Amino acid sequence: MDIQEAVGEAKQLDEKYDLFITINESAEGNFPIAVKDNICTKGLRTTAGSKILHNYVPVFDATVVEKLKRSGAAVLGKTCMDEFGFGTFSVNCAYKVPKNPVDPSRSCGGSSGGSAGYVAASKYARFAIGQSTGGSITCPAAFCGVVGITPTYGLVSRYGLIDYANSLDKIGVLAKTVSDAAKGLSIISGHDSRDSTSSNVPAKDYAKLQEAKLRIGVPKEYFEGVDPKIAERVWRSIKSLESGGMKYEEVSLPHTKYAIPSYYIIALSEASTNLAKYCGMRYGLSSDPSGKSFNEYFSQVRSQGFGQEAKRRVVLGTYARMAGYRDQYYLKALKVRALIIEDFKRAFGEVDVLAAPSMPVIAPKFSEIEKLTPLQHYMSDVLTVAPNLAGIPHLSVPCGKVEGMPVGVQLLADHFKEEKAFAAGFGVENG
Amino acid sequence: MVEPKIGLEVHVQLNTSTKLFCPCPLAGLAAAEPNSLTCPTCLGHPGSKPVLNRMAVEKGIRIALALGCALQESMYFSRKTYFYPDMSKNFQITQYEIPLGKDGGLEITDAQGRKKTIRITRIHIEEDPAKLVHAGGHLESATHVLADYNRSGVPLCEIVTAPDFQTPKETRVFLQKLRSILDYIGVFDVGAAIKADANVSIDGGSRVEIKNVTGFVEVEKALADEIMRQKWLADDGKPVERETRAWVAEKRTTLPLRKKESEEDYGYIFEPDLTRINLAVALVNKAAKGMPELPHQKFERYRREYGINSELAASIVTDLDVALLFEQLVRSQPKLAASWINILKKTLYFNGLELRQTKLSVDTFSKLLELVGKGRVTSRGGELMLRELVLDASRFDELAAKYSKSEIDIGKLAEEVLKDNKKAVADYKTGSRKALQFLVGELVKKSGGRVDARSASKELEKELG
Amino acid sequence: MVEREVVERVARIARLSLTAEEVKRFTKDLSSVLEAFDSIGEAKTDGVEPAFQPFDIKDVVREDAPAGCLSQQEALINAEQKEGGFIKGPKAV
Repeated sequence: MDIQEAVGEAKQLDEKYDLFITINESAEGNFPIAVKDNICTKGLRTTAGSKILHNYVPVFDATVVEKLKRSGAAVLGKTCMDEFGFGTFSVNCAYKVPKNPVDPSRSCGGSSGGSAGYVAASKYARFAIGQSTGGSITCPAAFCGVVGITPTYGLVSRYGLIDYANSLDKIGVLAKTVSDAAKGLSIISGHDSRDSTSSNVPAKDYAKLQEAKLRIGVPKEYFEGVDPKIAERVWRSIKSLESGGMKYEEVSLPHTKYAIPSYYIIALSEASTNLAKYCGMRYGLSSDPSGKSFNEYFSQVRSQGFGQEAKRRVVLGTYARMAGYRDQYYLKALKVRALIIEDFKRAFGEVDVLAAPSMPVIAPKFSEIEKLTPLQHYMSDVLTVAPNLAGIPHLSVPCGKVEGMPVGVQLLADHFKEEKAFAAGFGVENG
Repeated sequence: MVEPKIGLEVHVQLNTSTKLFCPCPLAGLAAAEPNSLTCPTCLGHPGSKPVLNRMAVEKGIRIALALGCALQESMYFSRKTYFYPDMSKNFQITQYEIPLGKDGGLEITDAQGRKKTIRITRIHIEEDPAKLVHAGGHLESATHVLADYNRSGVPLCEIVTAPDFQTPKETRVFLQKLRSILDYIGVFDVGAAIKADANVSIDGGSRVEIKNVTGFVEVEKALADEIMRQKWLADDGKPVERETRAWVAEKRTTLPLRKKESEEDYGYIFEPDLTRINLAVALVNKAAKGMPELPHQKFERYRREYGINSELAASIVTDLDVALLFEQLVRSQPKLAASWINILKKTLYFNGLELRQTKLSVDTFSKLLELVGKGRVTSRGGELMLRELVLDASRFDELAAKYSKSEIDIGKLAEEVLKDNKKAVADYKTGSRKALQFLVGELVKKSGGRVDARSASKELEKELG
Repeated sequence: MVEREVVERVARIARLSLTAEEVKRFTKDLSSVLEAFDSIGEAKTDGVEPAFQPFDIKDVVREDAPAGCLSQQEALINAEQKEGGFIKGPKAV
């Protein structure tokens, strides 16, 4: 494959859909790959979608980028995302807002919107690299009609990932097919001594691991408030798995209703500490600090460099861990997280895979997103935050269309049981 | 008046080979070019991650064990978030809810000679920030700062005491003893400074924190100054405010830090990039095996095995190098070792030296004792040799020749002494013992210490008939 | 209901200088979000250990072996504010 052709295509797609923050014209390799812009690429600008990092050029490659390059990938660009991952629709990007290739008046989803849009539109790319904290792979995969795998926490090294919330962040893959997603995951997974939370589970050839007879669980809480037309598409996928010989049963995950607050409190508590480092020293946005007190200078740089949503999340996260509120919010959320993990563990004692809608709605129009309050915005993650809190692998697979827009079914498996999610995914894809 | 209540937070730099969370070396740090010993992790670059140095944990455990702390089953790290120009991430990775060790103690002797235990509340590990140069002046007058991240991420162990000290002097005694223990267990380079924050209150008044004092002499001075300030306030009927003050060594006084800083809220969260560390198993066993005999254990053993008086035993054990030298010498020179170690300590003290700063080896010291033991050099001569050896140990052979008894003609020296001191000779002949003592002294002096008093007396009496 | 003063204090702690408009907006947002999030208070968590990672990960350490550093030039390459090998920052008061 001529990589320059792929670069040319990426530029065309970018003009049409605003998918990239940076395009790497001198990309070299055997196959093209796009990487979410919060993953460090040595010598290639990495902004995490934020103005405060507009000039950050990492001095090192993230482990996933090293692995990709070793496998022959040409990193041809860094994709649009919500600033630091702070959003569900990729509209909180400091540079441009990616448009859904299926309908450019609608969102790609977020926060890995650029990567999903690129995979959906490109005829060269088989997969792209995304990253999820609370649903940032599943959501854009569902909205753009591609496959998205969010692996078990720790399966893929986070070394070189610009942190949103370290105990939740996972790098994963957005792909044309389940098989492409599995191949992509095989390339980027594996132990890394530079990330303390990297697991010792060796990389597997996920595309080749097929499990025939799976027990499917359908969590009833995941259908509440879901667009009935979407629920109907998802049920059709479940029935197709049944006709392929798999059994399904209804299960309950009773603490699901606490997932949104638990997720946002933990994620923003961690995020507000992660963002403390951006202060106009060492890297990023700056001005001459001479004559200024540190309080004055840091506040000035941060207020200029962060967008509205980043500021909002820093305020929320700082509040949730402050003395006086810390027990009520931060520590409580961590305990609730333990209950949510227990829910899944109990369910996986009974079934192999849980099947549910990926998102409660189809990709919204930008005009609709503008009207959402921050709380409504946060609530749209209701189906994705619990699997992310639990750090379990989950795969979003397209399962038809509603009003001409793609719909996804998400397949959740127990920790390090990616092959089960993939096996169910192959079933949905072929069903 | 109620005695002052003083507590300390001591910061000790652990002598590991690499930083706490990254493999940047610590060797040569003091003399390195600015920002030449850094990596993305200690610079706080986006995307970098910390990985814990096993040795720092082991050394922390050794400290906890040496200070009798209860080790926690597991320990965690936390993020303490606050903004300051020396911070690489504007949060410090430290320990909060669950530190490495809790509830220990260290026994010291107070001014009345009574033993008292200073309780250790907690021990934890944390990272050091960067070093700042205040460009164009000092902290207040500088226009900006220049940051050198070579220090960023250096492992520190914080040792927190209960407010059990009653005088500034006790803090010095404590810190000296602590330093000696840290040296013994091999976790700290004696050349490195001990830093401390101190808190003090008098008459049950408000507690005042004194930040960032370097060295135990300074700690004592800072506390003495602060207690004086609080007493003056009390004498004027003014209340002591609860505040944080900085010790300004050049001005020998504490100055208030800005009140604004008290609004800081650290908002501790667990450090999600690091894992739980189970202290109960492998690490503890490994660290415990590496634990040497501690000063108080040596003290007891010296008293028991060698019958040394407690003052001398205490003096020997304070410095590990001296104690190790003693233990080697005592094998070959059981009679002389203790007293000569005492002479050595005095000689070192006189010269303001530590044993490790001299080139004096066990071998050289044994040879010296052998000369004295076999009577080839007088005690006085040995002492004079030692004075020169601590400055330049390579001169041993030359000095041994100079002070050797066999090198001199004692009869000739005695004749000269008698010739030069006719009056004393006359007095002696009238029966004055004092005159003989004087002449003996003159002869010893003239021999440059090579003749001892007994041989001098014998020779003079022979000459005088 | 969160007071405006609380948002102002949080902003100071987080080193954000917010406009009056932002303070007003965030006060409203924080109030409505916290009101919704207060529901976690109902969850029964007596005796539940906080899960600060998705599953128990323990004892990850590295050996105390030095590795290469960045050159001074690499260390400073991303810093616009620098002086004589140092990184320049604001006054420490």
